[in-house]
Amino acid sequence: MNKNKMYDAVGEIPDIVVHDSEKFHESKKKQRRGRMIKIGSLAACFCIIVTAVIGILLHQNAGIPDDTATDSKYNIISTEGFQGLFFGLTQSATEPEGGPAGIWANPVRPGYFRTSITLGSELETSEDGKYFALVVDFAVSGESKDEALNLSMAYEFFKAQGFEAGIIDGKLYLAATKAQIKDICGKSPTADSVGAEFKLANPTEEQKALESQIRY
Amino acid sequence: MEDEAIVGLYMSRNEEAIAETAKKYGGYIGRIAYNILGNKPDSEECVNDTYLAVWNSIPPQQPGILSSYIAKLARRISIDRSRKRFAAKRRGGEVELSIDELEECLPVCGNIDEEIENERLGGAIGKFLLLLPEERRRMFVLRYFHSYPIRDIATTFEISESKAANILFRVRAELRQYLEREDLFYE
Repeated sequence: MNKNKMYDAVGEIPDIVVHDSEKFHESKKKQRRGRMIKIGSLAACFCIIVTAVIGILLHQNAGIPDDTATDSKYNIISTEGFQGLFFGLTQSATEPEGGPAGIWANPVRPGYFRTSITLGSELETSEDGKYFALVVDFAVSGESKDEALNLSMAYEFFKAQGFEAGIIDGKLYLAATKAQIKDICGKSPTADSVGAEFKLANPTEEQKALESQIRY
Repeated sequence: MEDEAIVGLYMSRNEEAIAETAKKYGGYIGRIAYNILGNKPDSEECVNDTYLAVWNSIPPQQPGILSSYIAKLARRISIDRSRKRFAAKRRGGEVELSIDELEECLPVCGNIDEEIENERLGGAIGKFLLLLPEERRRMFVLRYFHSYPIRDIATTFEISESKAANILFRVRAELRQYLEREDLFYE
């Protein structure tokens, strides 16, 4: 029965040794629990963020104004954006200078068009400093040079964003502060350009045909 | 509640002491009992027996570290119950494994003097443990005092089970050498 005596004798070891070991064991257990809680919280946060983003995207897709959708010339059909912009446009068959007819764009991936809005360096400012005149131009080579078309698209865009905008004498006026422009474009109004990318969410057969004409 | 206050309640024979002990150490006692007995109903009975034993022993005892005092009582009560219950057959489980492991600490061909009290042998083991590095000491105590499975010990120290078993093997070998030098055994 010696082995039992050894086991019993271990029960007589100093209190401090027993206490130290159990304290260590408990602290490690708490650490592990804390780590699990942290991982769980992060996972929960991630799920909430993903759900929120999906919700926002769905909401914004559902919230596209019908009046723009019915506009025969600029049918806003998607709110998927670039640099935080939710920007939707559709077909604009144009003929670039010296180029063949068709849609010229700078696609990022199939189904996406990419262009840029140039904010002119000579910004006209209203007297109270709130209103900026934007010279809008799709400046990327090979893209539309149709000034009126670009102005209209920019107008649509800013209206869709809830800004007060108007075209006067061939210039787009936007009731926005610099901070608001920076918020929406990701760059301050003095910056050269803002990129935007948009997708045909539910293209019609005609639009699909136009898309197939894109020259890269 | 602080340990001193709980001991104070025992000293003044206030029954609130048992409730406070259960609140603070119920889980700890239950874990020790379960590690030894391996089943819940028996463990629960041992937990209650431990409360009674603490109540009956304080006073006159006035423990310095209440948690360790209670743990020792819980361990002893659980071992007694285990021996009674499994007198006719081999117990099996973690406690049997750790008892078998501890047998390796006995010197070869050595018999322990029946007269040697547990306290003396326990004192020698305690001295040996105090000489060990912290990590190995804690491992030994968690395994052979608290009877935690190797798997739990490996998790606590964030090492593999085989490494934990290997470290414990070496500690047992060192303990055997130490006990041989202590002259506690005869041939």
